[in-house]
Amino acid sequence: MSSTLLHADARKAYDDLWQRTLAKINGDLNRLIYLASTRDYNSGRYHHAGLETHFGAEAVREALETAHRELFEKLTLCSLEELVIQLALYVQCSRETPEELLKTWRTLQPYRVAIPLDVEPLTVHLFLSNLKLALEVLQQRQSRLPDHR
Amino acid sequence: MLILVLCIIAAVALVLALVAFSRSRNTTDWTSVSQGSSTVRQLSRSSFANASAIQEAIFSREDWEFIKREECPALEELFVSERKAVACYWLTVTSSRISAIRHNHLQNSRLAHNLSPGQELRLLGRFLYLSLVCRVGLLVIQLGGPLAPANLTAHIQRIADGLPVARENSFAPFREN
Repeated sequence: MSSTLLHADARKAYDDLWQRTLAKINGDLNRLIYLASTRDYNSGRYHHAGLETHFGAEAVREALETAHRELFEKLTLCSLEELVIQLALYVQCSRETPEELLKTWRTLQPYRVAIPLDVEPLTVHLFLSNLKLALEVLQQRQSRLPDHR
Repeated sequence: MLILVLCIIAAVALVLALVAFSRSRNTTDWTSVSQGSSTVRQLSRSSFANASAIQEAIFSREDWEFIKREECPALEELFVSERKAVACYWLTVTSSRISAIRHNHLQNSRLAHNLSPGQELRLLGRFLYLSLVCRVGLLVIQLGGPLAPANLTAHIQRIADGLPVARENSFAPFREN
């Protein structure tokens, strides 16, 4: 994955983030949710204690923000079929039952917190719409399973 | 009913005429405004790099084929409704961008002393053409669904990609005054 990082320290932090953390997470949607979880809900600033001890807070912030935005754009531009695969992988990796998770995601839409700051509204619109469709596809598949009835 | 049919036929004829017209035009003509200018700037295109990809994603036939394979009418209905909303939003954003560029150009033109009437008329024609194409696109999406105007939207995107460069270039001679 290419990066548009400007600072050398941020580039190193970015590479380290991918090698040690993101590469071990299964699926891009899981990675996106992880990166969104490193962002403070109130300030919008990214934090990663482990990386900050090596590269400094500002470089880590830039690295996390870049990785977050890149993954968001990748998932927004991928095909609907690919997004469904990513969502199924996320459901599979979670500790909740598929029924429960799908119900929560369809009603509360917690995935909205995974949207990075400063992305174009059109991109956000497309991402949310695609995720809504992907959730419906999985819901339909789930309802067709024999043990669901 | 007859009026509705006539309106649809007129709209289709207009779309076909616009598509035929657009194919005979070179979209990079936008940059011709700046020919002879020594202050042409190479703008970063990074912010617009994904614009074409977004347009392709919105009007993706692959996604529609995927939804159809699921064999669920409710899903198909949801897909059409969702994509229609996103497609209309895309056209509205594009149209707003064109209006903003036109507004900026008019403001700069008021300060210029060496305006070429021919060049200004050509530019006005382009702006009007783009605005009209966006409106036709909206109409086609409303009537024919989100996948109907694939060629038209690709054409709009190609022109829209050229707009920021054209804007900067078109201002270049005026800055020198």
